[in-house]
Order: sequence, then C-alpha cells, then structure tokens
Amino acid sequence: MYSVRGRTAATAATADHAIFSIWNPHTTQRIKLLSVSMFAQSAAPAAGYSARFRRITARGTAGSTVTPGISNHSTRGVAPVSGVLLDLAAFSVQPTLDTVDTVLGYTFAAVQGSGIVLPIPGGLEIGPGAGVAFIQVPATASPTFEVAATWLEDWM
Amino acid sequence: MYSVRGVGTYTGVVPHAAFGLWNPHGSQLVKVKRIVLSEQSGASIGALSGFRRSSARGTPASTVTPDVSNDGKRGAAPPSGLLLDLGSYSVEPTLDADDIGPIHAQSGGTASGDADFFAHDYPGDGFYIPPGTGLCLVKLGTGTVIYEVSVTWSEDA
Repeated sequence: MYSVRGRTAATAATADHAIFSIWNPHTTQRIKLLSVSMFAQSAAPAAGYSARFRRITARGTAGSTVTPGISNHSTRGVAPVSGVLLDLAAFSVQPTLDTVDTVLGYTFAAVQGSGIVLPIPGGLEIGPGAGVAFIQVPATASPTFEVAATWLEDWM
Repeated sequence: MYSVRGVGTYTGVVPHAAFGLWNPHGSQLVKVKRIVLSEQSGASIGALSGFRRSSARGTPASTVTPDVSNDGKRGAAPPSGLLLDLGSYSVEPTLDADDIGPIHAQSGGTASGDADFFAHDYPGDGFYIPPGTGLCLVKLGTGTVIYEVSVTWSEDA
C-alpha cells in the first residue's frame, strides 16, 4: 500500500477547475485508489464550496507535482511500479475531464481547517494513462489544501 | 496478483528441494497467497514433503522468471523479480533448520500418473518472503516425486 501527500495552491475562480489529481502514467499497470484526505490550510473555504471526483483522460499542466518513491510504500519495498503522480493546483492547463462525475464529492464547512478523510468503498481503479481529479463545483477560488491519497499497485 | 507454474523434482536425499521461490530484491516483500501441487510421477506411499525457508538460492536445474503475463491484470512484471527455481538442484539452497507447514503426503495410489493434488491458501496477508530469501518445498520422506507446482502471490496488498 502506498500513500502520498502534498499541498495545493489556491485555484482560480472557475467552475470545474482541478484542486488536485492522481495521474497514472504507466502504459499497462493499473492502480486502485483507496482513500483521499484534504484539509483547508490558508483560509476558510467559501460558504457552500464543494468538490467532487471526475476521471481525467489527459494530465494537463499542474502547478506542482509530488512523485512518490520507495518511502511512500507501507513496507518500503519499491517505488510504485505505475509511477503515479500527485498533481496539485493551480493547473496552468486543466486536465481533460470525462463528462460525468463519480458519486464521490464533498461540501466543505466555511471554516479554516475544515476537511475530509474519504475512504472509497471497494477502491477506485485507475487504468493506464488515466487519472482522477478532485474538481471544484462553484466558480470560486479555493484556499490552499493539504491533500493525501492512499492506493494499491497490486491486489487480489 | 501474480501467478507462475513449473515442474520440479528433488534428489533422493532429505531435505533436498524440489523447487524454491527466491526473492532477489533488496527491499521488496513477496506475500505468497496460494500454493498448488500435483504429483506427476514417482508417487509412492511414504512420499512426504514440507516447506523450509532458504537464505541462499543454490543452483537449480532451471528457473522460471515471471513477467508481465504473470500479472493477473497484465500490468507489470513483478517488481520483486521473484524467481521459481526448479529441482533437482546441483547446489542445494541453504535451508533454515525448521520445517514449516503445510506438509504434503502421498495419499492415493502409487502408480505413475496418480496425480495427488494439493492446494493450500495462506490466511491473512499471506506468507511473507522477505528480500534476499526464499521458500522451498523439500523432501522429508521416501521416494522421488516430480511435482507440478503453481504459486500465487501479491507484491502489495
């Protein structure tokens, strides 16, 4: 099991902009996303600020990227075979979104430090050359978020 | 999830190995989930085999090297580089002193082709093979058996 964390910058005040994404660059390896967490750091989210997962088919250009290594492995065995990447807002080129949301979303309390730890029942498989992004619903700039994700590279 | 198969045998000496799983990686754990054995020939009453950990690989008769086709999702070759070494060995693996389960004993007829079948699932997270170690099926009784073996393991969960 692998886990990674990072801190986003604020997003622009545009609906459907990505806060962060998990991108699987491998040509054949699949991963299974087990959980994500995110907490507002710099300021309170605006009242009613919400976001949800949507699959992405192109990575876009992130503001910054975290590349997991061997230390991100729960047994410190190997770096993730997939080469999965945690991309963080603000994206200068937005990832290419699928047209339909997943059912996983959240509305944040308008309090600095509000957030969520979101386990994903059964996990969310991400195929090769694909990803998922947590995208904001309103045309409202976000605060910075501390984000973390947990996933599997192999499972029964 | 990965799986691999092969055919191995041991010499007429206790506790020589019929096959071994060898984890050559410097840090990756292998978690064995299932082992399936089938006696192909040489079955005899008294044929008894068990398992031991190994600390040196030895020199097998042949080796099966799993690749991306051995991945249940055809995603990637196993990152550990796990090897299925097949006996009989010209240089036996260095075995730990303790026999560990499961054991397998011939329970059916003794004619060649009476393929006694054995499947063992390891509970929980499976049986760990740490980096730079292995797991071998070894001879504990009489007779010389040729085994068809298949192994299923995980490299992460």
